[in-house]
Amino acid sequence: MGEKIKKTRLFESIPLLDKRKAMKFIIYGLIAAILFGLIMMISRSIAQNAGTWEAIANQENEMNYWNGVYGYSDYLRRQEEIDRTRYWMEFQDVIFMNVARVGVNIALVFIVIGFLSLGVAEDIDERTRRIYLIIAGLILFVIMFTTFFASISISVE
Amino acid sequence: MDSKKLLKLFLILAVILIIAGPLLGFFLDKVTIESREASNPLIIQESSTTTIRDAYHKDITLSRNQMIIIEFSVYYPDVSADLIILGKGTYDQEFAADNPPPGSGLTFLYSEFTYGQPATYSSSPATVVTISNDGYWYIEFAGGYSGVGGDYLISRPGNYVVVVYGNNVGPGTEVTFNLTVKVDGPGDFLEELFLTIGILLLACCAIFYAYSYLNKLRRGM
Repeated sequence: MGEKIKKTRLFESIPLLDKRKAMKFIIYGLIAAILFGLIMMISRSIAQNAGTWEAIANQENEMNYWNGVYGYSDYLRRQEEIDRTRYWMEFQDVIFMNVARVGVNIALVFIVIGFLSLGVAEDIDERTRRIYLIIAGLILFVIMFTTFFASISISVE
Repeated sequence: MDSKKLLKLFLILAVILIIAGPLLGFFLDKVTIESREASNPLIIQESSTTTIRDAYHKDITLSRNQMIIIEFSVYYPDVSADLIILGKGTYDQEFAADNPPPGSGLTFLYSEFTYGQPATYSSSPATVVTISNDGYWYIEFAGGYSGVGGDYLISRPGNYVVVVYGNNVGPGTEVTFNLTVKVDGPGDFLEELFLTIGILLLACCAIFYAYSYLNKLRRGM
């Protein structure tokens, strides 16, 4: 019962955030978005470089065999393990990208709420509020397009 | 214990598990069950060629996907030694009948580490290996062998016996040789277990941290 009241208060208070809380929303949202973005980039980088890693691991495996560290059957066993790891390095991208995508979108929603609140704050001058509203609109536009259209995405190189 | 301390504890535990996994995997990959190097060689009599009872034998039990590694070498004058691997039933039968060791046993693989050559070319199957005076064999055995498309060991769990016999072509009767027998240890299993638990703990920590962060955010409002 108490939880329900709390939730109602949260949603009621969102459009009426004061300046301090709105800035908090923007900063926390930005931090979360950066963190999830970082996860996305690391995950993508691992997946893209899986082939290079496999080449190094195979070479090491072969050199270990030549050095007599282990025999032929162990060499084959390790080759299979290298293949499995490579496939996981590629597949983890699917898991982490989806988790990070959800995270970034939630973080962007927080930022939008922050900018919208600043845009309707009465103690800020008209032109600045307009800029805040434009920024909020732009971020909303990005969220909607990246959420509803899979073919449109923003990539950071 | 408050949640922050618990989170720290889990985080430390996860890091320890992730570090310990590969280390355990490395150190427990193979377990040595017989190690008789040059400083402490094995000595049998040449009568081992006429009766299997005088031959050296080492009992081994293999479980699913388990393999044994045998390093067999001789660096002694006048010695000719043979190594075979028999199933426990066959060995017991030969032992009971007091027969001489059979000239060959089950198929194993031996590796010759030829630097620069693809590994496939430097491994071969054999049912017996012989060393006269000087020689070294690196042998792998898992119960069975398949030669289809290459040289592969087939895992056949069961009891096996490594048998070494030989003769002395000089005036002596002693047959001296070195033998190391290693069996697959629990390293691989422990490595995977520790890594899985470690990564799961890390994921739990991340979820817990995210949850606390959201709660903090809500409280801030």
